[in-house]
Amino acid sequence: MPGEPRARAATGPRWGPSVPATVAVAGAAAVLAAAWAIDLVHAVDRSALPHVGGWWAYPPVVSGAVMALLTLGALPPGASPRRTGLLGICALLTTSLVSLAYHLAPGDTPGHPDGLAEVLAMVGAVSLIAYRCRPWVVAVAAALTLAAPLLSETLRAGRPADLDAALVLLFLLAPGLYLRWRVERRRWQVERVRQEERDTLARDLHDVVAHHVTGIVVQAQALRYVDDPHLARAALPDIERAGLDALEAMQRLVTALRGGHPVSADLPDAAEGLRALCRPGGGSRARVEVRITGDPGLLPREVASAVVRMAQEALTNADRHAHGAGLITVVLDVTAGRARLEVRDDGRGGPVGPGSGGYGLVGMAERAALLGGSLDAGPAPEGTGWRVVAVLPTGRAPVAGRSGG
Amino acid sequence: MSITVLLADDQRMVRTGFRYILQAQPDIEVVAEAADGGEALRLAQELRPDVSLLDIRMPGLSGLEVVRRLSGPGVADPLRVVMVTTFDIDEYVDDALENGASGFVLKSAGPALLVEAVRAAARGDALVSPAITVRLLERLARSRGPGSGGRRVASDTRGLTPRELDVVRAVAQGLTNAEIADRLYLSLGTVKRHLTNVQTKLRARNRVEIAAWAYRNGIVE
Repeated sequence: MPGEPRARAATGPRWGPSVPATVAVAGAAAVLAAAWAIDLVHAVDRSALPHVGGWWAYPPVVSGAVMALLTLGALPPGASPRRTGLLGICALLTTSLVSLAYHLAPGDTPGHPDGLAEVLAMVGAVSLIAYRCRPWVVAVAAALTLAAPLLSETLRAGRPADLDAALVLLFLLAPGLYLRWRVERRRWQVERVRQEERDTLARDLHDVVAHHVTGIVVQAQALRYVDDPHLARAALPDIERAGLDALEAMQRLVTALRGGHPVSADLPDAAEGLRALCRPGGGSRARVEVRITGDPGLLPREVASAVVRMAQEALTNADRHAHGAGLITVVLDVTAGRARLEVRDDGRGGPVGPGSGGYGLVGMAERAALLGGSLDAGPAPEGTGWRVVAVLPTGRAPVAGRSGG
Repeated sequence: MSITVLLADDQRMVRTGFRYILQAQPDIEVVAEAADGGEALRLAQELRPDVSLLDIRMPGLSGLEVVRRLSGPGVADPLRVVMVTTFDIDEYVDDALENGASGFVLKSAGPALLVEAVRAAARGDALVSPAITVRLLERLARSRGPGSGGRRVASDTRGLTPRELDVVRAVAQGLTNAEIADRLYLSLGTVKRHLTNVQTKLRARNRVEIAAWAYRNGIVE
């Protein structure tokens, strides 16, 4: 369908994988071709030497070409594990077959001289297999890689070869396996992030959208049932606000689903978020009391969210560091133009400075500063305990779409 | 004498809506409202309403914690509690049942079902909102069932007589005592006697626990 720029824009860059793939294959082809050319020149030189035996200088050139082509066939990023495995194993078998051919050659023929193209193709094939194929294919490739130098040495010299070269070749598996690990780890991380995002969305739908819509539905049902025009009129502002809040939450969800900024699971309502922190004392934990003055419903979303986060952080700090605290009070005071959050405990929080317990404080201070506010933490001026005070300006434009107050 | 009700929900709109509906009934009186779990617990213990309608998710103490303290295992004189949920997929059904909830009602169920749920919980002779409760129990049984499809054979009927099992089946299908009496050609008194025996044998505190047991053990499919 023509003219759908928004949907298109949300899907990210259209720079497909074909360009880097082409570059990679072309580059590898160029390098292999150069190596093969060097092999050819060497072979021509060698063929003139009396003890090499004329045509016996050329098999590595042939196998180098075959192996290079097989490896290039397995190289494109889109190649399936099956194709990679098949072509890669064929490439590895080729060099062993050449070694065997030398072994069966007339007595005075020297052994299998490794070609540069052969070695490079081998490196490529082994790496690709280690990167893409199933474990048993990787094992076969490893065995063939190990066998190649052993075979050529043993067959040539008639004695067991040194393990050095074999081990070096075996090490070729490492880059492929490393890349594979990276990819797997990345996939796992991506999956985890996605799951978190989905959870967040579900939570937002349940806690925010469904919450408001339920309120609207229940009110409508009740008001129809009691059929009292005065009650109905009185309920309209609440219903309107709940509808607007639900819309706003849905807008955030839609934005998130389109790939925009991730949604924040924060409930926009500071009062609700703070009240959720209330808890009775018990065990080693102090009781938490929350007091709110003013109307937190007037706070801009980011301030409301910051207030709740800071209170949570301060509580965590108090739990961790305020020894012997029996009561933690959280006080939010909303007045025209600013919100003041105070969290204090009655414990012995003395030794806790920004050095030891300050990790959370740093975050809180940063959050406050970002919003143009300030954060102050220290021993309470009177009495015992630790006190955290955050003052945030709320002077920015009130939340759009809110009528009344 | 009217049925006294406590409403606990952190959403004011839901509370007032429920109150309008319930107050319009001649036989129901809303005696208290609570905006969080702690308040709900305090008010319920103080006022001992006939029925408490508790939101499952509340700040402070959750509805589950409150129901545990009001009617959970070991509570001496349990109160009747109906859990109020936003969706009928809430994952807390099991917990609520184990903690002695009498049943579930959807917030959006509408006035008729809400009122009926309160009355059923107060009387105790029918499942609370049978449609949603039965659906929840079925799903619960399925999610715990061994494999899919295979119907479980009731292995342990805890010494229930065939007639008592008939009654259990009818309870699990959401029938009232009167309807059970009708279906099984029994007197209402006999149905009640059977139910008392069943409750003793299953150690079930209320009707919904009998139904839950029936679904879990494949007594009904």
